[in-house]
Amino acid sequence: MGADLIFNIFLILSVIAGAVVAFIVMKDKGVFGNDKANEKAITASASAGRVIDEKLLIDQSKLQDLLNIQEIDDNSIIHLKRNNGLRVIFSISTPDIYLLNDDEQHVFENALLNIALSLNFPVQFFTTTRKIETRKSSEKILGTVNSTDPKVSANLKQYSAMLYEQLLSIEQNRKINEIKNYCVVGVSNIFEDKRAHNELSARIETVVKGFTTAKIKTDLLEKEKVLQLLCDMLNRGDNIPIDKFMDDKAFESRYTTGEMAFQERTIGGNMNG
Amino acid sequence: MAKKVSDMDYINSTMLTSKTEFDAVLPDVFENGKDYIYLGADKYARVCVISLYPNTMYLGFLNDFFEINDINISVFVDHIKNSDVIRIITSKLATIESNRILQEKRTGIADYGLRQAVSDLEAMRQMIQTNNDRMANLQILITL
Repeated sequence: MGADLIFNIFLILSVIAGAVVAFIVMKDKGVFGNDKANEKAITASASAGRVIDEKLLIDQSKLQDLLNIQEIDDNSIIHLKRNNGLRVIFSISTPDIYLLNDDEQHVFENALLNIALSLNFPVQFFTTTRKIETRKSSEKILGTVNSTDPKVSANLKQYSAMLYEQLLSIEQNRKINEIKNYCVVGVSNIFEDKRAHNELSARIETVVKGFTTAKIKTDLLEKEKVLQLLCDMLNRGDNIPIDKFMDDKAFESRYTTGEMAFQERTIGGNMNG
Repeated sequence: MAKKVSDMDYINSTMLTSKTEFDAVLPDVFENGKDYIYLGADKYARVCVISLYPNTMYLGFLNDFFEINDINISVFVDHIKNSDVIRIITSKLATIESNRILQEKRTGIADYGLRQAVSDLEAMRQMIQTNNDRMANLQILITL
């Protein structure tokens, strides 16, 4: 009798212990779906009345985080989200070294070496190939072809039509690409804005002076062109015309995060208005 | 899955889903595979890094890569302090030189590979110490 009682008690205790262990393991694996993030979200949503797809919110913010870009200001300076980073992108066009004679190549090499020696900060060079874009030129030529102006001769229209066909065939030819070179200059970890901008200006000056000495043409990329470059990188093979979207005012607002907009609106007193 | 959210989350979500320039820039998908990145229908990218460089290089030695269509080459250059470079080279030089002496004593045969390495490092240290050259960390990434 005593042995049976002890055995039963031991059996009940082992079943309870097993259940507790199983519960802990399943909770750790999130089987019940009550992880900390969910609890926080549920608490936050307790007083709210709106309904939204949470998955959409998380995925889009993650994609934007990939770029690490806070905004691109009117001076074409890219503000990064982390380490108060600032970046500017130059497009650079170098002379074709195969068209230079030996002496000219030697001079060019020396000029590049001098640039390399003068730089005491990190620089990124980026080279990409992209399909040739003849849209703007083609549209102008097509305007001549379809012109009703009597001053435009039939010969000129015929020539323009042939030119238009040729440009289209170049654009559609997958084997013809243009090579674009870029140089990225930036500063990071300088948390005082004025100092960061001054340092960036000094670095830009060093780079541009060096390139000018080497007879390399530099051109600071404007906001549209920076976006176009990012777009070409992330949407390979698609020729998405960002400048056309911007001209058509397809975007309602400049790039900003929801949190910033929330703060601006709160400070402005429009939140409850 | 639809659920109730707070005012702050609602504003965040509506701003994130509003049409900005970055909506056109972002790809449809960004999925990291084992050795590739998936960027939407029929769009894949693979990033390679050049880990070993040739002994001698010439201007435009990467140009042949552009025979391949749709390629990006990114070169990161970050200069290293001369004092750090000299310290590293001296340490490497001592290691290689001691290895060379030990090996040549043991085998009695000259190791011309190690001798060349010693000679190269000494020349490099001389150039840096006389401020005629500098060293930089270089990383070349090729995206296909």
